[in-house]
Amino acid sequence: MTFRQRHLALPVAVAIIAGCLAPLAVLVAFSFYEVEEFDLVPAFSFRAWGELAVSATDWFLIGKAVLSGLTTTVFTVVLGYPVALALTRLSASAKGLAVIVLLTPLYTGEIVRIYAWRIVLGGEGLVNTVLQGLGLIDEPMKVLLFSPFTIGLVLTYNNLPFMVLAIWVSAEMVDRRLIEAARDLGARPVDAFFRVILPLTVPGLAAGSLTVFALSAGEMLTPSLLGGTSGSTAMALVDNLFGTAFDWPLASALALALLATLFLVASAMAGLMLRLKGARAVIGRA
Amino acid sequence: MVVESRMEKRTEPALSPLLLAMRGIVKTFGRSRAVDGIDLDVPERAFLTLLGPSGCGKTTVLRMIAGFERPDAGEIRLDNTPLADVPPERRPVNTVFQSYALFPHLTVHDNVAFSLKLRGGVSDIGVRVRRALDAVHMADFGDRYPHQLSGGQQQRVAVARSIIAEPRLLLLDEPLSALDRKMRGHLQIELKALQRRLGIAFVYVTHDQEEAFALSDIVVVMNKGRIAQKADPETIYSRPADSFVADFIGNSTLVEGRIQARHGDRATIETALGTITAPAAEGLAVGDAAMLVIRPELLSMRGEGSATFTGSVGHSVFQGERSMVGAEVGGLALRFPAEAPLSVGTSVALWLDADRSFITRIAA
Amino acid sequence: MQRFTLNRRQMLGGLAAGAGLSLLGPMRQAFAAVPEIVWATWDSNGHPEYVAAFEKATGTKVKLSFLSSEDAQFAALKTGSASDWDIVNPSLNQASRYIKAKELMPLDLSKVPNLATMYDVFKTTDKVKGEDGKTYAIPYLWGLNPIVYRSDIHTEEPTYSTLFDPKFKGQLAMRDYALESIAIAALHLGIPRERAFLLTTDELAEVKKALIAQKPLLRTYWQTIGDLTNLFATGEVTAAFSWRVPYDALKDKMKVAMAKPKAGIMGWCDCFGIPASLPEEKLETAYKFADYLLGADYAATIAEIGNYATTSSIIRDKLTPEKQAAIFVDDLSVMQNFIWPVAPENYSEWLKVWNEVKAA
Ligand SMILES: Nc1ncnc2c1ncn2[C@@H]1O[C@H](COP(=O)(O)OP(=O)(O)OP(=O)(O)O)[C@@H](O)[C@H]1O
Ligand SMILES: [Mg+2]
Repeated sequence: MTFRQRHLALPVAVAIIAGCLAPLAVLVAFSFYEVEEFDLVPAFSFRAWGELAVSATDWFLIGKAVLSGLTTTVFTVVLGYPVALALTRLSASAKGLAVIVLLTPLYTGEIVRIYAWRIVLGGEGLVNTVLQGLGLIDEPMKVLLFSPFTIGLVLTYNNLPFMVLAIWVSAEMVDRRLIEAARDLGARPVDAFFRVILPLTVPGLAAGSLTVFALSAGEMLTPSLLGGTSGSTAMALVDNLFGTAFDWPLASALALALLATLFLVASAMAGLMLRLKGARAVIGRA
Repeated sequence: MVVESRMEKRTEPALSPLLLAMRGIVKTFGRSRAVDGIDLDVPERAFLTLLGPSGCGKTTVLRMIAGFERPDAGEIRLDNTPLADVPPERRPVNTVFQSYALFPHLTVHDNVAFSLKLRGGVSDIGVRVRRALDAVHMADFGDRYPHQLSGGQQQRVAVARSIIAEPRLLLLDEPLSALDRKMRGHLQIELKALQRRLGIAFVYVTHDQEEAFALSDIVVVMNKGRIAQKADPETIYSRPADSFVADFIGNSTLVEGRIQARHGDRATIETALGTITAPAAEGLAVGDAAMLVIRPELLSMRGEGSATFTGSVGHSVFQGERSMVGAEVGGLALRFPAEAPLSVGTSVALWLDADRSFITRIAA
Repeated sequence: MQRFTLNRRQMLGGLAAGAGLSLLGPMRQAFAAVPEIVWATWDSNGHPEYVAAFEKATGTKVKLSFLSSEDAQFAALKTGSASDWDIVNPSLNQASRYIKAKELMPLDLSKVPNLATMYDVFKTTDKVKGEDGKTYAIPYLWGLNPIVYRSDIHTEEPTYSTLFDPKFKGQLAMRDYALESIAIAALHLGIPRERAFLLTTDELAEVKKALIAQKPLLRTYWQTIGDLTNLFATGEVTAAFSWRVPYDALKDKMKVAMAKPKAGIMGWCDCFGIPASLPEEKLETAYKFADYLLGADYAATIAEIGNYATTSSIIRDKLTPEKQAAIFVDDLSVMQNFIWPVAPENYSEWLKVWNEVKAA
């Protein structure tokens, strides 16, 4: 019986390994190939890695991806906690409704959302029109659209649902009586948050943070269509190298460097969160 | 109401200053009245028990004292200061929760140190944690996490955690209900000793009357959000304020009747089993419907003169050193202890120690 | 170049040859007309009504397979994932890439009689010729990439230098595309149009400076033509290097116009090409389709509906002057002002410059 069960699990394991590692292996191989006349030629060349190593642009963009991922994560955490905790206090039916509302951004396609943001934030857009109508500003605030601000705002908005859902699921499992116990023992609400709720929701925080980090660090459409001249991303560069430039070795090397950097940062984030007072006890047991 | 206040005077330990006073407290959840107008005083250093069936409002009372619920009406004062606008963290009251509510992510040591660390500037945290853990015999468990402890150990940690900040008042919500009988008995003794040693007032919730009697200076019996009786255990046992209390306490048989005569403390009640004269609750007057409370130990198979009741054995349960027998008398089952089991159908004659039985009012 | 990729059609062909030759061989002769050909093209080039006349005349159905990008088309051919395409659509500017990669088959021009009506500029281009001198693609549809601008805001017709003018800070847009943007900067700097795509390293450095200086003036880089149309429609942008699409879409709603800068007009041109691996029995039909693309029916419908001109002069004189103007064939001097954005030898350097500009 055990033999058979192991037997059954084998294809799944193979599929997982193949699905994760095979593309990586291909990228590694490609990064050492050469391109001749739009043809990828197997070789063992360090040309791509050499170019990558000295390219300030490439490393700047990788750094930018990390920064974008981290800031979006921080913003969504800061906004996500109050929302998630408020959700836990709703009645069962209100919760269902709230989750549907929360997920609304995800029902619309990304492109639709992007153009909607333009309507909201544009020079002749909703926000500027209202502010001008109220006499609060004379000239439209151009910085609302096509600026780093826009990227931050929209990435936060797009990723907030993932963070809220992750924290919420975790927060639902925190016994309310623990919070009362903390209050009873002299904790103000803010103390109860940092000493009880936060460590006990670390699993959700970690899941949410890693998801949001990965999604926002790798985001390319939103920056390029809403970020204006500051919208260049490592992802778009990889895309450009694979496509327009047909420099698959460099594209592979850059993709691998980006992946490795994001992986390292994500690991560091996970490690840091595990060090939150007592979080290890919660996760270790779960 | 009138009766209660008279009772209070009689039963409260003399000269104890008042710590907590609740007046006219009402709490409604949706359409259900969890607490329906109660007055409650807790003297300093008292061990007061709230006793009552499930759902009668005990936990709700504790939660209002701790500050987790706000009364719809009435006032709570501690040291004569209204608590209405004081949040839980600023009340000198700590709680041992029904489920212990230990922080799963903190070690025993950190659980116990929780309130001191919050306070900040406490230099002798280590010493005090150790002392608190010593007090509950858990000094060796500081490094464990709650999930590595037995139920009884968790309960003790919960107690240590709530006494370390030296509250004026400790609230305990059925802290022993999850434990086996032996462990419960053991911890009851420890809790009582601890309370004496610390000199802190305890408000203790249970629905186990034996536990209430074993521990308390004052027992408050609650029924449907109201206080049915508030007195020392002995009074509750021997002079239940009404048929609800009498029924809830012990294995008494309640026999309904009507007062025929009243002489001072005593009254004569006419029941289906005959006419009996016994001590009676104050305020019962001739013609009132009332209830004769017959506790098992007041019935004996031997006695002088003619037997009070005669009947036949309906059932007999062996309980070790004695048996509990139910005798069919005039359509009622009278429970009494016998030295040996009796066979069903045997006819028995029973003598009642009427002077120790009690005639009480019928609960609303 | 088969050392690395064995494309799928070749593989299927091999299999068919092994397994079913005896069965398929004799049947081939039985089908005079091919029931269907698949044309990989842009959706703007291949509306069903554009090919209806061909289907009627030949009895062959034209199945349209729309491209998402030129790169995707090239990659699909390269990796063999496009084995069902019978006719492909390389751009004139990138034709050499397909030819070098041996993805196209050399064409027998005698099978395309309508070539006679083609404008000279297309007839004589050697971009569709391989090193062997053979022709591998036939230009069939072309247009201009003008500067589209708001005529209510720009009272003078813009030039490329307008796109670098601080007066219009925050209202300008460039395409996020190295080839065109760098060439435009070069034209703005006064480099003659013959050399706009043949920049030296020093010139590239100058161009890079100009493009970085331009960044604060730009509202954004546009990605797709829909994106740019939206930017005009919402008032974010008043002048941009563009395609004609925003003009057509918005001319009835706002004051927009197209400028054809004297410094040189960026032209685009799509070509007909046959994948190197097309089975022989479809060849005849493919040539017929090439001839159709240069014929009167295609030219008339696409001029009418899509406002595009084919490379053939076949119907020009029958069009109204307005229509001629709309598809840029009213004044044929345009044929001399064209510059064709073509990837230079040092294209990777261009891309690097462009990525540096964007990340600056
Ligand atoms: N948050 C609440 N919402 C609605 N009803 C409540 C709430 N808390 C308590 N109640 C109701 O109030 C009544 C009293 O509840 P409470 O918890 O005080 O009872 P209890 O005496 O502690 O019972 P137990 O011995 O079972 O713990 C019950 O009917 C209960 O259902
Ligand atoms: Mg309770």
